[in-house]
Amino acid sequence: VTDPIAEALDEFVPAFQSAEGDWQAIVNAATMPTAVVPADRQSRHRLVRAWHTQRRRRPLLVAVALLGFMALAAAAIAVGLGAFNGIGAAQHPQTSADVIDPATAAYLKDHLAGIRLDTARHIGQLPDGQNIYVVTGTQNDLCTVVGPPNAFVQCGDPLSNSHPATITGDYAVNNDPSIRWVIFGLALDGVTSVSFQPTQADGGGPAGPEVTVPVNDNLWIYKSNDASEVDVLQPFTAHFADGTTVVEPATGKDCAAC
Amino acid sequence: MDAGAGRVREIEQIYRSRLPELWRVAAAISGSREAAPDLVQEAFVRAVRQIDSFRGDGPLEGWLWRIVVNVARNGRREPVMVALPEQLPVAATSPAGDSQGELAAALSRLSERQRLVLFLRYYADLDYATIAEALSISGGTVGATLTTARAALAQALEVKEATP
Repeated sequence: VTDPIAEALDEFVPAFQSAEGDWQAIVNAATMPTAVVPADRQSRHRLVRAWHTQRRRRPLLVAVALLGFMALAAAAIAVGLGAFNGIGAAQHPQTSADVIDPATAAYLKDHLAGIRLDTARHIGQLPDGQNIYVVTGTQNDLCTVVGPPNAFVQCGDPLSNSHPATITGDYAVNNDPSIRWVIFGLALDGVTSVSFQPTQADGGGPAGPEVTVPVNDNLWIYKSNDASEVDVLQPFTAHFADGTTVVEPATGKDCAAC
Repeated sequence: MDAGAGRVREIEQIYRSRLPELWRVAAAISGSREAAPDLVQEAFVRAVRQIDSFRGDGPLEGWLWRIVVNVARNGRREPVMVALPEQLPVAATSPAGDSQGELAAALSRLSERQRLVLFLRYYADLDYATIAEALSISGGTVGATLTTARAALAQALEVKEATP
């Protein structure tokens, strides 16, 4: 006895004859911070495209010469990089503490060729001990790098008075029973706190009341012990020391206005 | 911590043993065979990250399927009333007598819940309890929904069979 409906459905979406998954990639990704701002992902793609374009246009010898020149120029850079304007925590000569570890650097080179690792400045740490750096890109992007062990990068426009804060990433914490989720971002000099409505990921509704998170050394870090994954409902607000506020426009994910 | 690790191992087992079905359901819901592996991958990343939110009220597999369904729904191609496999013609432009086109048209007239119940039942061979957990409905509702959906599809196919 045949079931015509089952047969029709079977033809409609044929079975996959073979399926080869990657479980380790799932485990790795599950413990890695995730970017949350689509606009910044676009910027990251722009960075990669720019590098590829340059690579096609320039003969190898010229590229080698330029790399040498850039290395010298990078060594001379201490303070005042445009992308770091308004980030006091990054305004210092590069020291050994600013050098990104080899594993994280290798990941970044593989995934984001336009990033300028020689500009890295260490600006703080996440609750689980991972380092946070700011790095520039070839188009003056401001990139935030986290690692080790879970290398992560997010790039976007430099901070300014009209764009005084970012939501950089969120990730699950596995080594501290009192913290389940961490969301963090950068803030311009003069910004003392950011406020937002925590929300459950995937549109699950508010995860507690609106919160105000202090900024220390250009970093804000929000910790949650909510069982479900927590996100920031955008837009969110940056509060300056002089009492003024700037609402960072919503960028897509968990966006209340779009 | 140990309970969480144990559940992650269970998730891994389900992932390894059910991957072809997971891809197939994701393809049916999203309308893209090409996107299905990435959607399933994303769903399992979320599952591992959110394992503590699984309360154990129903089968773990049903909870996993719920995440897969939600991710695949979010990854659905727009604008279509029902996600169609990318290699198939859209119902409205299908030539007369194209059974796949007529099936697509019939599916598009079903409610989303009816389509999801059909996909989970026929593409993943899930039992009613697991489908109920995946779609957050009762087992009785699964049976009734499946009966209604089958009747609608049977009618569409009979119409096709009656056409010379």
